[in-house]
Amino acid sequence: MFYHRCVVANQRYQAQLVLPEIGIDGQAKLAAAKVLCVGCGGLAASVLPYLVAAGVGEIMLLDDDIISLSNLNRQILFTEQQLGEYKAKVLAARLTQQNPTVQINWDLSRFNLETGLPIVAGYDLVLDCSDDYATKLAINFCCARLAKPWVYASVLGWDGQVALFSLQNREQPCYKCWQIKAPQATASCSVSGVLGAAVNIVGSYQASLALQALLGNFAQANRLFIFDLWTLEQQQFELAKRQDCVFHGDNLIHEWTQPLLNWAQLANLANIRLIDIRTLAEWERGHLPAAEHITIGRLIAQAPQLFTLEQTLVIYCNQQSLSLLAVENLRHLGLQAFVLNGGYQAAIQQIQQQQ
Amino acid sequence: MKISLHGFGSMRALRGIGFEFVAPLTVREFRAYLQTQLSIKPGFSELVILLSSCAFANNEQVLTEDTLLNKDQLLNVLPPVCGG
Ligand SMILES: [Zn+2]
Repeated sequence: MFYHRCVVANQRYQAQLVLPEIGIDGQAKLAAAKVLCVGCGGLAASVLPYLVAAGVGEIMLLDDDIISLSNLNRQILFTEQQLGEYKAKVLAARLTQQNPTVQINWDLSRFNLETGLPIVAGYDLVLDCSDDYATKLAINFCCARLAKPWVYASVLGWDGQVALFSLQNREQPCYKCWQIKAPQATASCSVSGVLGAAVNIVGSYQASLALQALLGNFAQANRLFIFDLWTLEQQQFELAKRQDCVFHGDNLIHEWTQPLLNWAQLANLANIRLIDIRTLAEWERGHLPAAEHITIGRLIAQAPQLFTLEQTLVIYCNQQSLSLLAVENLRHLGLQAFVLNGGYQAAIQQIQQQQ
Repeated sequence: MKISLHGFGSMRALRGIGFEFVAPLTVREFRAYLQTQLSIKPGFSELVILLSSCAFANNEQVLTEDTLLNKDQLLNVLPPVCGG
């Protein structure tokens, strides 16, 4: 039986076993590898069939989204009959059919800063098939923390980008070293559109980089590959570590720790400044004890003069959308800033309950 | 010193645009200068916003904000791309 399985495996992978970069040893590395794929949309549909075909041992698919008609121009493994079904589940079934020797698992969990670390710890490599900046940052954070390689990919319009971040030590660049600021909403597919063929070419590069990393080859790591499918240009650029990137220090603080604090948690914090960024009229009608009033415009424009790195800044508005914006800006400056969860209204309710 | 631009993707409209400078400047300063120049050009308002999250690269590497631009060169403008 064992002999039979070996013969079947050799036949299945014959065309890549003869590649000097793979061979028997490389194939064994692929078979032992465990890969986490975050997102099951267009990129996943392009990259995963190649990893499954190549005989990667185990793949976990994470996505909580369902298939919709507007996905089908680029998420080419889904059909109209599957509309409304979970992407991860459908993709897992499809990939298992393609190569039953690969262990395919799926889960509807969302990948974020809170859930990510224990998940990533169980895998050798992460594929970024997500379509939003927050998820890419969460992957970067977890992989930097755990020194796990990941393959970033993004597509928009006719354009694509892909890069393997090796993260084997703190001197190697990460995603945040290069993508310093959050892209605007126009940088997402739902706003600016996307061409299926662009997704496919990026997915092929992503698959090649992933397989190389699993084989232990990082020669192409830490380079950004860019494609413009309209002009048919492609170019690559070396990425360098940014000296002040917060992802590489011992003190991976502020920027990607959970930004929300509840009113009750404030009592445990030292050196705190509680800041009300609502309008002056709202402030005068009532505000939280020990708070100070600073308009959001002044807060952002004069932050370096107003605050120090040692202070813990807790920002509140009426709910929390404006405070999130303020905190994002403050954290970008390296300040320890948090949003008061639920804003003024929620805090008032908590204070009343305590009394 | 002349800095010429080569935009990718949503920054394609910047191709062929160039600026003369008499003194060296950092990438950060160049970005701010470019935003000011484009903000007075009709039809470029969206690019001005996008520019704040673009990266600049020479033909070999992505440049940090503190990189000094001190000779004639082509700068690639790499827009943020965040879809999948
Ligand atoms: Zn970094």
